[in-house]
Amino acid sequence: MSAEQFEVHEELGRGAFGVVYRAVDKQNGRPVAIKQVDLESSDELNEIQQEIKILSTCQHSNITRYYGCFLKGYKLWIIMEYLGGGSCSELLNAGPFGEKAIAYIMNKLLHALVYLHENGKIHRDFKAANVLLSETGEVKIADFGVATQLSNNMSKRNTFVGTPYWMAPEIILHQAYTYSADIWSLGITAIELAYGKPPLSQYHPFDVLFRIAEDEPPQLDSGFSKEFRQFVSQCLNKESKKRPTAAQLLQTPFIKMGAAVDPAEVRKLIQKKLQWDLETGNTEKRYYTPTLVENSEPVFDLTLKEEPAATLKHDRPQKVPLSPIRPKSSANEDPDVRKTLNRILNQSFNKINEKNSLSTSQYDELVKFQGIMMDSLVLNPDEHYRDVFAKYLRLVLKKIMKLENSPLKDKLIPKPAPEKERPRDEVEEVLLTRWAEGMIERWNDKL
Amino acid sequence: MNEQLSKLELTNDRKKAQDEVSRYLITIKGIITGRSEELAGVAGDSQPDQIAQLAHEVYNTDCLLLLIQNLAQIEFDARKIVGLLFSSLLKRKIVNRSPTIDYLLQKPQILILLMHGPENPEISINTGSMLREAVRYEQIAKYILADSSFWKYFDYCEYGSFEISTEAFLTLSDLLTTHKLVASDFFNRNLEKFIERINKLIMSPNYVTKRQSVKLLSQLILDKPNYNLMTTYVNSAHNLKLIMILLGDKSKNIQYESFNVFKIFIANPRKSKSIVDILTKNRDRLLSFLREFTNDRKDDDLFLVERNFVIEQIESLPKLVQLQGFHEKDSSAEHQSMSGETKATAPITKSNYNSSKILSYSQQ
Repeated sequence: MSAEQFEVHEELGRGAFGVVYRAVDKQNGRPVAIKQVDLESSDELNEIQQEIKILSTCQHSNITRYYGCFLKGYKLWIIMEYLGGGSCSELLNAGPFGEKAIAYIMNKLLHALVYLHENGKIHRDFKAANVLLSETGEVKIADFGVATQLSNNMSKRNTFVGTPYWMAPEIILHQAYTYSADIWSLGITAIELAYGKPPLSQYHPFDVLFRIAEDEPPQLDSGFSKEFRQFVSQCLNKESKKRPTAAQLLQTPFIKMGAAVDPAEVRKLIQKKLQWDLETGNTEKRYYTPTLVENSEPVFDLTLKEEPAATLKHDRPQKVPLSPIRPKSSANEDPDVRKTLNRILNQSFNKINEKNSLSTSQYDELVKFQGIMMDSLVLNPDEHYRDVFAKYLRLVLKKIMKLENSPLKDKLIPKPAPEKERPRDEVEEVLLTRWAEGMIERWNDKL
Repeated sequence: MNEQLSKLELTNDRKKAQDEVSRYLITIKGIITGRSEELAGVAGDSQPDQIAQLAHEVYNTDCLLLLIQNLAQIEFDARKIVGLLFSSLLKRKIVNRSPTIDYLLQKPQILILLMHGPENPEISINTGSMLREAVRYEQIAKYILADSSFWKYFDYCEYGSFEISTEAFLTLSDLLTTHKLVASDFFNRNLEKFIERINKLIMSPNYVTKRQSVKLLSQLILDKPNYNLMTTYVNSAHNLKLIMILLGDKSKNIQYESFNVFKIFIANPRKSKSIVDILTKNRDRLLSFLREFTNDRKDDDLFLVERNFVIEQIESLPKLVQLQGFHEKDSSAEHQSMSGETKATAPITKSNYNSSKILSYSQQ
C-alpha cells in the first residue's frame, strides 16, 4: 500500500490525532476513509501502535473494517472502510432519531460489543460520533484511539480516558473498571440518539464529571416506550457489577425489537440529514493539501580529512507534491446572496446550539424561524415581498437600536456581563486534577 | 483433544478442518476463562483440574507445535485463542518450576517457529505477542538471544508493512531491555555485530524505525550493565558522525532522541583524536544549533541541564583556525553566562572531566 494508490478527497473529520479524509483506492475503485496521524506531534508511538493492533485484530460486520496502514513521511496513513452515511452525531444535527431506528442501531452496536468484549477489548469511547452508518443502513463502531486490550493476567483498567459526558462513574471515580464501562456509555449514547444530545450537555465537561459521579443516573422521560426506558436504565446502573453484559442485553425486549427493524429506518435518517444539509446550506468541505517538504543540506560537516565528502551526504528522497483535488465546480444557479445568508444563518445556528444546548422544542422553533428568514429574504418567489420583508426587518432593527436604556435593547444586545463563575469546591478540584492527571497518564500508559 | 491434531493435518478438506479446529479452540477458551456456556453442566470449581488436564494433554501431544505451525490456516478469531492458550500455559507454575518453560526449552521448535513469525504477515501479530509473552521469562530470552535467527529481527524491523516492522521492533526491544544481565552478556559477546546492526537501523529511511531505534540505542547505552557497549560505542568517530546526522534531522523527535546519545560522546572523558576533530570542526555550528535546541522542552529541567552541560563542553573545545585567516570574536563572556547551573550535571561521566586536557590538545 502506498499514498500514490489513493485519490484523496474531502475531509470527513478531525481530532487530536489528526485528520480523516475520504478517498478512493485507485487499484480497485473502493471508497475508503484515511486517517492521517501525525507521528511527529506525539511523544510516544506506543499509543498509535496499540490502536493499529486492536483494529487489525477485529473482524466483525459491526466494526469499521481496517484495510492496512503505511507511513508517509511523519504521517501514518490508516486505511479503513468508508461509510457514506456519516456518523450518528452528524445525523443528529437534522433532529433526534425515532425509537425504531435507535433499537435497530443499539442491536447492531451490542453485537459489536459482544465481539469486542469476548476478545478482551474495551472500546472506552462509545458515543454517537463514533457510530458510523453506511448508505445501505449498516451500523459500525469506529475510532479505537483509546481502546484497550485486557490480557488474562490483568483484567481491569484504571486509566482515565474517554469523553466526559459518556464516561462511566467508576472511570471518573478512578476505580478499577472493565467491560461494563462500555455498557454505561452505550446507555448514554441511546439517550443521545433520543434527544440529540447526551445528558448534562448544558454543563462544562469538568462539572459533568462531578455530576455523573454524584447524581442519580439519567433516564428517558415518560414519552418513550417502557421497553426503551427499561433498556436505558439497565445500562445506566451506577454499580458497574449490576449492569448486564452485552450478550445479556441482546435478550432484552427493546433490543429484540430492534432486530426486526427494517434498515430503511436508518436510510430515512440519512435522507433527512441530506435534506437538512440542502436546506441549511451546510455544504462546506475542506480538501486535502499535502505538505511540501523541501530538500535540505546536512546541518553538520561530517567529513574527515581522509574520506571524500560524498560518502556521508545524506540523501533525502525528493517528494513530489500531489496536486490538491478541487471540488467540482457545479453550476450553481443560486445567487451569492443566498449562499452568504445561508452560511450566516447556519453558522449562527450551530454556534447557538453548541453554546446553549438547545432542547428539542427550542431547536425546532429556531429552525422554523431560520426557515422564515431564509424564505422571506431570498427564497420567496414574490420579489416584491422579499423587498418588503427586507425593508421591514431593517426598520425593526433600526428602531430597536435607537431606543435608549430600554430593556428590550438590552435583551437583544446584552451588555458584557461579568463572568459569573462559581469557585470549584474541593471535590471538584480533586476531580479536575485527576482528569488532567489522567490525560497525562494516558500518554504514559503503555499497556 | 487429541482429535484436533489429525484434523489440523487435513489440508485437503480445509474448510471443514478449520471449523473443527475453531470448535475445539472455543472449548479450550471456555476452560481457560472458566465462563464457557458449552460446558454449562460442569461446575465452576473443577476448573483448575481441567486446566491441569489441558496442560498435560498439550505437553504430551505436541498440539501447541501443530497449532502454531498451522496458525495461518486457522480462522482469524480462533488464532487469538491459540495465543490465549499459550500465555495461560506459560503462567502455570508448579512449586517454583514452570512446566511450560521447561517444555518450550526442550522443544525449541516452537520458539523457532515463533521467531520466524514476521515472515508470515497474516499471523505476525499473533506470533509476535506470543513470543513477547515468552520472552518475559529469562531462560527463554536467553535462549532466543543465543539463537542465530535472532539477528533476523534487525531485518524484520525494516521489512514489510508498518504493523510487521513495529511488531518486530517491539520484540527486539523487549529482548534487549527486559532482562538486563542477559542482554549485557549478549552485548559483551556480540559487540561489533550489534553496533553494526543497530547503526543500520538508526539510518533507516523509515521514520518510525529510525526514531524508535535511536531511542532504543540511547536506552541501551545508558543501562548500567551495558557499560562495555557504552564505551565501545562512544569511542568510534563513525558512530559520532551517524549520531550527528540524526541530530541534524528535520524531525524534532529524532533530534531529541539522538541528543540523548550525543551527550554521552561529549561526556566521555577520554575522547579519541578523531572524535575531537569532528567536534572541533563543527564547534560553532554545534553551539548555535544547541543554543536553539530547546524548542518544545523548556520545562524539562533534566534536559536543559544536560544541554547546558553539552554546550559548555563544546565551548571549551579549541577553535579551529581557518586558513583564510578568519577569526571569530572571543566567546568567553558567553561561556561564563552559560556555565552557571551545569556543575552538578555530568550525569554519565565516571571520572571528572578535565577540560584542560582538551584545551591543551594541539590542533594540527
